[in-house]
This record gives sequence, C-alpha cells and structure tokens, in this order.
Amino acid sequence: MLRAAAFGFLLISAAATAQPGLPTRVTIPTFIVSPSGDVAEQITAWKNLLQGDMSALAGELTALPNAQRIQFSERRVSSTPTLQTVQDRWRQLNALQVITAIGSGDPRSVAFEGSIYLGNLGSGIPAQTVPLPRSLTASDYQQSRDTVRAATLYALSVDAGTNRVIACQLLRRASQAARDLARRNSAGGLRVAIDQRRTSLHCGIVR
Amino acid sequence: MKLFLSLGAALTLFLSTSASAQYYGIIVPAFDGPRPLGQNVSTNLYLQVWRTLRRAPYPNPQRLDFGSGIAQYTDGVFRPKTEQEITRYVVQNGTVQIVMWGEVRPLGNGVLVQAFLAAPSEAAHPAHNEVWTIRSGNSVVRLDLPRRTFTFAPVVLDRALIQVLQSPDSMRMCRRPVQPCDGMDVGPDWNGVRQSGAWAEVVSNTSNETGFIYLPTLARLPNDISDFAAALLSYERGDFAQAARLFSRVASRDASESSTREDAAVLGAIARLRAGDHGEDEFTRLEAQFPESLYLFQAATMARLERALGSTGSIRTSLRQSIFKRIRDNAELFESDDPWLKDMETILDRL
Repeated sequence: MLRAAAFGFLLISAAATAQPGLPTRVTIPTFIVSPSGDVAEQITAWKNLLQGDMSALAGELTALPNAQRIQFSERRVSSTPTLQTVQDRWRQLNALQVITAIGSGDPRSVAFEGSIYLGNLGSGIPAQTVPLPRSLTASDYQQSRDTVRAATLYALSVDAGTNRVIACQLLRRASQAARDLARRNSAGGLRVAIDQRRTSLHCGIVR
Repeated sequence: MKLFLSLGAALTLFLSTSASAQYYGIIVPAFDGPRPLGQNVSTNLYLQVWRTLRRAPYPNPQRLDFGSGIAQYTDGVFRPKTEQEITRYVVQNGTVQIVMWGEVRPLGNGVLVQAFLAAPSEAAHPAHNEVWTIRSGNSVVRLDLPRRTFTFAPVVLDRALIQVLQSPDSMRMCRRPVQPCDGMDVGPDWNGVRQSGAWAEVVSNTSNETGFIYLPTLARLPNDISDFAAALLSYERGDFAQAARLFSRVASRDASESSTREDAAVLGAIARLRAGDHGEDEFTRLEAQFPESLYLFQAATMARLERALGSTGSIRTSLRQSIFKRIRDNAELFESDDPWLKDMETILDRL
C-alpha cells in the first residue's frame, strides 16, 4: 500500500468544514506525469469523463445546495508528487476531500494510477487507501468512477453533520455506488464505512 | 448547427401541430469526443429513441392518444457544467422536455460512451404526466420523478456497428423496403409512419415523398441509455404501457448499475399501475429487492393509498391505518416540511 500511497490520495476531512465562512468543496486534481503528448491526451480524456460524470451526479443531488462544489483541476508535472506535496495542496485548498490521481505511462502502456486515502475522516474509519484501477480500460474506468462516487458521497454525508435527512439521502446514493463496487469485489473498506454510518444514523426504512 | 426533427408514430401517420406545448419530445445533441465518433454515437441513440415513439398502442380498445412525439438531433455538442445550464438549454429549446447528452472515447474496437439524461421541471409539459397524482375530494398528493438528472454506467459499443448510421443527414430512404435501393434524400425533417423490423416508413417533410429508411444495426446495440430515455419519454407522454415495458427491460439487465436499475424498477411498477394493471404486489416484491429506496417507499405507499381510495368499510379503515403507521414510522427520513409527507397526512386525515 506504500507504493499506492506514493502515487496519490483522496484525502477526506470533516474538519475542513469546521472553518467558518469556507464553502465545503470537493476538489479532484489530476497530476499528469508523462513525457508523451499522446499519453497526456488520453489521461486528460479519462479525467474529462470523470469530471462529466461527477458534474451530472452533483445535479442529481437535490440535497446539495451548491452543485458546483465538486471541482476538477489538471496539472502537468515532471515527477510524481510526494505525499507531502499532496497533503500541502489539500490543506491549501480548504477542501473537504482531495482525490489525487497520477496519470503516467508511455504510448504502449497508458495507466491512470491513483488511490483514495480516507485521511482523518471521522466515524471511526481507520486511515486507509482504496486503490483506483491502474489501467484505462472501460471496466477499470467504471470501477474508478464508482469508487470516486462512493467516496465523495460518503464524505459529503459526513459534511452534512447532524442533518440526518440529507446525510441519509447522500448515504443511500453512496450505498448504490458501493453495491456496484461489491459486484466487482472492490473497495470493501469503503462499503463497510458507508454501511456503518447508515446504521448509526438510522437511515433504514421501517416497513 | 443543423436541426433534424423527426416525428414518430407507429401504425398511424399523425398530423403535426404548430403549438409546441402539444409536443412531447427529446433532444439529442452530438456527444462530446473525437469527431465524427461523437455524432455517430448520438445518432444511433437518437434513432433508437425515435423508433419507440408512437401515437397510440395497437390494438387500441381504450382509444388512447398520446399526442405528437418528437425527437430532435443537433450536431452542436452540449457540454453542461451546471444544472442551470441544462435547464436553460431545454427551456430555450421550447419544444422538448428531455435532453440526452454525453461523451465518447475510442477504446480498441469499441467506443466508451458515458451518457446523461435530464428532464428539468422548468421545461415540463403542462400536462405533467411525469408526476403521479392521486386526488381525493379537495386533497391531492403527488409523486415526482425520483430525480430530474439521470446518469448511466459507461458502456462500450461496437465501433463498426456505430459507424453504420453516421448522422441523420446521411440517411437515405428507399421507395420500397428492399435492399439494395437507390436512396432518396430524406431531408432534415420527417414524420414516422410505421416501424417494422429493420425498416422505418417515413414521409419526408422536405419533399413530401414517402419512403423507407433501413436501420439494420440499431437492434444490435442494446443499452440502458436509449432504453431508459425512451421509457422516460413514454412515461411523460402518458404511454404508460410502453414505459413499463421499457423500464422493465432496463431493470432486468444485469449490466445496469444499481441506481439505474432501482429507478427503472420503481418507475416501471408505477407505470404499470398507471396503465391500469393492479400490481400492488409488485411493490412488495421490489421493497424486498431495494430495501433502502425512499422513492420506492413513497411509491408503494401511494399504491396502497390508491387501493384504499378504491375500497370501502373495514378494508378501507385497515389500509388507512397501515398507511398511517408506515408514514409515522418513517417520518424522520423526510424534512419536516416535505410536501409529499404533508399532503399524504392531509389526504389520510380526510379518508
């Protein structure tokens, strides 16, 4: 997991919202580390797909007053950023979470590497990484997309704090994404976290 | 920008009307991505939706009439970043209620397609078929769509099949449904007359000629995107039987993602009920399948309410009590001023 940690993280911190006057945001930066223009183009296309999906997801979320707060950025860098760089950037952004994805490779073997790090997020979740798939195939893209969706929705539910109605709405959606991950045996830790939070908030329906 | 209008109907050539409010329709802009792949993909999805438009069922003992249906294609790419942009796009169109957009990326022999659908409430048809409404005396309770924007799992479509129908302006029509034929120009605007197998009988609004368009590959590109879009458009048009059938197709597809399958299953059950099928049992079955769905909880409660309204005496009293209990037990999952919850309590008080 150390290697994954060196490639990238999603940092989620509920504490980010405790600062008054700061809007809660989700930022998703992509670092492209590749000498090849073709590779960079493919990774940008991958990132754009993810961005389009997250923008539409934000539109679905009636619980979110500001659907524009899931923001993407792209930076071309000469070397893989260190963990310290990623953490510093996260603090500068005052964002609820940072998904850092590192795209690299050569024209024969393009990879979109990254991982999701559930930093010091509350609810008793241990710090852990949830790796994103390394390749740019369609099925791997879907897994990345569902992982990012589930993590983002989970983070936003934490951000909703004691507003149970909104938190449960977000967790219901997160749970759907997690169910799709379960079909691919992926991101088990994230699924457990979502289920635990749903249980603790009594989001279940009585029949 | 080119605009291609296509009015579809099965078995009946219908008259188009000038009052845009009388149309129910969808617009499909060219998908974002390398050209012409984006146009190719959106053309196929657009034609798949268009083929489902019908003015009335066949046979039609109830003499139903769903009015004019319209599908539009434009080669101008739509890349919305916010919900407001989507709403503005559909409202400014003035004719349709739904937009399908997306992006494509080449991937080996296939094309990765990520698509979205929106039916902004600001652009809704005045008839509001998309809102399930139950009335009792002066009381009314309404259940809107589960959401107004829908996202779909990315799918990979066969590039060779996608490239057979490249764009609506490349379409040709034959005098008879036989291949090969010397194709005639269809023009940018046509009315559908009849769908039969791989052939669609149309009347060109440019030349007034009748002919047949050959669409051999559409059936070989099954996907949630066009099925769900066609189902939603049918639902909005009040064609609930067709909506139920198409939603069920999506709900039963293994590859569908959870949120899509859940939305399709619930909307399909509602559509069946609104089409006249008394399928309250279906909601019970779905509640076991999707125990976390609040929208399903609302729909199942509405179905019970409808049954209570249609019954009398002790059955009605018993149903009323069970609905009250459901509402009371789950009230905390709703905002205190939630209109559905308040309307449901009001209608039950007066039942």
